[in-house]
Amino acid sequence: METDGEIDAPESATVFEDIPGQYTHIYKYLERTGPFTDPSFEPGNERKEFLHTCKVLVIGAGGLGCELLKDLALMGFKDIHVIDMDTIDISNLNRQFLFRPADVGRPKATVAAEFVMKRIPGVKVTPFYGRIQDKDESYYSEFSIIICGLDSVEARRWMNATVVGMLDEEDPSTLKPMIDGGTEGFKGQSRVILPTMTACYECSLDMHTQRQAFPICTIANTPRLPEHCIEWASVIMWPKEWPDTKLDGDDPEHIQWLFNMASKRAAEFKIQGVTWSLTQGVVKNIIPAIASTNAVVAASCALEAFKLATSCAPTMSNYMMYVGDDGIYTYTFELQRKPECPVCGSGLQKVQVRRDYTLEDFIDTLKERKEIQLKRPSLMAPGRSLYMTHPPDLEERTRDNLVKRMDELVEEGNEITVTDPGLPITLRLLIEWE
Amino acid sequence: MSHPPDKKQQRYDRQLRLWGAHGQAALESSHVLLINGNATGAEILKNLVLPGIASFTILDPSPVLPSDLGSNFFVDPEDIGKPRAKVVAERLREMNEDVAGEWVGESPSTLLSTNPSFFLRFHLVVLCNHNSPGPSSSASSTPPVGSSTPSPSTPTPQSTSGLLSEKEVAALEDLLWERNVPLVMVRSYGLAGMVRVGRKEHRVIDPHTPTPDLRLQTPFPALQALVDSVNLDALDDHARTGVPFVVILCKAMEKWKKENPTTPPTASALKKLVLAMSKDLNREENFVEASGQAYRACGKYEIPRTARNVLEDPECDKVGVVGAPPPHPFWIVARAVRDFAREEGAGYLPHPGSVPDMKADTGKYVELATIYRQKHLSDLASIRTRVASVVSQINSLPRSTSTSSIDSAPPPAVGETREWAGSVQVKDEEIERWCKNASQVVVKRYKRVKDELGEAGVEAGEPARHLSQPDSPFLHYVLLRAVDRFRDVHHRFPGVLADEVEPDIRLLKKQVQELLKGWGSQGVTVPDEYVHETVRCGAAELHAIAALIGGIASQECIKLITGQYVPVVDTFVFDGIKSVGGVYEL
Ligand SMILES: [Zn+2]
Repeated sequence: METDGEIDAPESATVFEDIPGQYTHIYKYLERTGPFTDPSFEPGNERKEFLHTCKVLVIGAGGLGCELLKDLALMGFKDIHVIDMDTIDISNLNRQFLFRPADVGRPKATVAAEFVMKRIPGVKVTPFYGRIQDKDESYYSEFSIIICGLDSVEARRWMNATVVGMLDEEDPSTLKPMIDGGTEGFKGQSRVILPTMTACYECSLDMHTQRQAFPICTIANTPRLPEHCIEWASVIMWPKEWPDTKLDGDDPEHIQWLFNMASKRAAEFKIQGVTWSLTQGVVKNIIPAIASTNAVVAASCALEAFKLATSCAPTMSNYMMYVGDDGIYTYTFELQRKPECPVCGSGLQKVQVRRDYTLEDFIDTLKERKEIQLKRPSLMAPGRSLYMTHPPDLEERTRDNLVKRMDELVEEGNEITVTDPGLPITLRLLIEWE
Repeated sequence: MSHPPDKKQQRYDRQLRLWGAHGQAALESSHVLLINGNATGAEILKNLVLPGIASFTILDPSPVLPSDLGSNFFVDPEDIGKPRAKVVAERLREMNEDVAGEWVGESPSTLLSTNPSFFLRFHLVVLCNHNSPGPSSSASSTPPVGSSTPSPSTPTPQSTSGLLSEKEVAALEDLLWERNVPLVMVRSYGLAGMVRVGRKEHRVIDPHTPTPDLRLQTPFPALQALVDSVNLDALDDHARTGVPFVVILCKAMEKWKKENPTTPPTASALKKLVLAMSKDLNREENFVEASGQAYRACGKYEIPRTARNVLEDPECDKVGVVGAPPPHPFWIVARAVRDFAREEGAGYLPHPGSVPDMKADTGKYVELATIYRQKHLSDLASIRTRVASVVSQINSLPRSTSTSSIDSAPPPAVGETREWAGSVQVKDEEIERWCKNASQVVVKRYKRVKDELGEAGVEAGEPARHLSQPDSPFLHYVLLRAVDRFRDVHHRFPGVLADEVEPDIRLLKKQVQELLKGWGSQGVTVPDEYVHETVRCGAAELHAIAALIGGIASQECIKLITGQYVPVVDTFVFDGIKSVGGVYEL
């Protein structure tokens, strides 16, 4: 764009539009100032140019991702990138509207990018078919805004830690706003994360409760629900019968086998309700998903991206929940930062430990804590490893510590460093005897 | 159930887990009319075509404008100038081959006066009463009518506006109201959005809000027999841990009654008693669970308020009355359930047959679950008998000459089946669903748009009450109403012309003041900055707002069509400036 050099050039929309008049709607907001705009807001071509040229990244090309790509492209973003590691499944088609039956099996990111570019003139969508962990800071730092449409807590934590970790307090250009959406059935939420200025994803981890696993003794000894019979088939019987085959929830033969086993057990205990669909639902932990909820949440995320990129209105502060099963309920509120947050805060917190706990007991309590949620934590005391899950030889060397008492291993006031191979997060725990 | 799902079940798996085969069948037999295929309207239909409605029709006289390319996903550059209804309908259909889509390129306003019966072919009507403020284009030369022809016997002058005036909206509602067809009105305007649901009577058998029904206050005979068969003192330590909390609580209640024959326990007193009954709270988790549930056994059982309202509804009284129009099956079952509760049910609704999971051994839990299920089946049999007797009584009455009962048109969707020519019928499946959900049933009745638009129809205090909250999203309701009045007076939307912002602010402010005055809302105003912001947007339809508000509207449509979950009453307003929403009843 070299409009600066032109003399008396009217602020003509055609400069940026592939089809004259294309952006009539959004330009109403960029050509006029208003009572709610940021004081720095200057209407005109500079705003338009930034919106049209800034790079934004969409993470996930599924239910939210498809909506996000459409929404961002129609809100004037023209340089959009998308990452997704999945291929298209038939069960995606009830909501992932950029995909057709003939696309089943193809990478989501590629098909979604092709569709949006074909439909909307002047928009470039660059797909990456792979994992978010395949990319590093040099890649993520290229974007002005990162928008997540993910379905796993782990992936969000990884992204959050990466984006917050990129911040260099000396260099404002390293501050990357991250917008995150999520849905389940008729419910969803969207939020805006400005690293160190607002709460980050990790600050509010305790809001996301993990699915309650059924106690193993219920599954093994006192099943009451059809779900207990299905878990028995998948958790206990499958590894016994097929020690060399990994259970695949998408393989109909695997599900059929589990269904048969679960049905037999249910009949034995006179438990009703084991069905094929329930079997697959339990094994894959399927979360119901519909087009309308995805549309609402993605649109809210895209709206905030537009406001961030243009300053045409204030950005949401900073979390909105939407509940649509009983009337329509929305609640927008400000999540507070947590000073001891391991990602955007000090990461240092006090923990009370029983002296007579073994290291393994202690690790179990860490896994259970809602604000920590680590799967395979490694622990280090000052100057030595207590237990390392990785690499294997270090695991072997530290394994003996698991049965030792805590007061044999550490002293009160010691700082234990906790890491997890799946997450770029470090926790520091200050030990106090209970 | 015992085989892998077929292709269709796989495709719809993630939604079938929400609304089941019943909800899906309702969707697959529903015909939806969209008035105006703008960005908001297209988004609504997208979210209905994907889950698989039977068909949709788009009524829209507008051609595709360049500005549609920057807001509506279902048009592309080569479509400019073509009928928007046709283009959007074709592109929407590409998403789901099981859905039929038609289009009509006439003006809704004209059609309403020349062929009102056109509007009676649908189960749901969505009105997106807003159009792009683009340059007015000359009437398109393409034939205005798509694959379905609404008998355009006399050619009518075509208008490209597609908008209905307040009066016409009221006339449309008149048509739909008596037939109980829902009218969903949706607006995306600048950073504001609004969804308004309207229907004479919306009945929900399954709102998906289950609560356990354990009958702890007055155990029925089979449950009492199970409780009597357990002797806690005689059980060994292991067996004690397998006793379900239901049995423990019944035992505790018996103990309490023996010791305090005249005073019923408070929840905390009963809790204490349960904890004292345990030999070892570390081992006996079922006693801990029972103490947490103790409140369920205390107090007198009452039918939940919403369900009670349904049973006490005048429609229940009308069932079987000579001269009354044939009742909807919902009310026939409601009447049977009411009479059941008053007679053999002894104050209770039919049992839903389900029981929550609890800490217990398999044998005792299954025994308990079986007892509840049998109770459900015997209650269900009772209701069936009552329904059959009411139905035969109705069918023996002289046929009412009036056919203007609710829901007389269009061809009924699932759950609405009856034969008007012949006798009244109630499907057994409907009786079963009713009995499984009797404590949750809800009936919603909406305010008429006609009344809301008239000044007298609005509760005088309501607007003032909402406006007294700072930055209430309700401000946008007032502003959108003022915008419509502005449009009726000035024949354009405020702020559409580049040089008209300041004068339009004054003109819109005048409309706001008159509206507030008409409502009798004293001492409240709409702050100037909101009026300014509304003019600033120049009637823009931002895609993000269209997608958000369209998403919410389509969710309401799904609830209205399936009769599951509970739709909003009446109006949801979204303020995209601050990203907050609110629900209002006027
Ligand atoms: Zn944080």
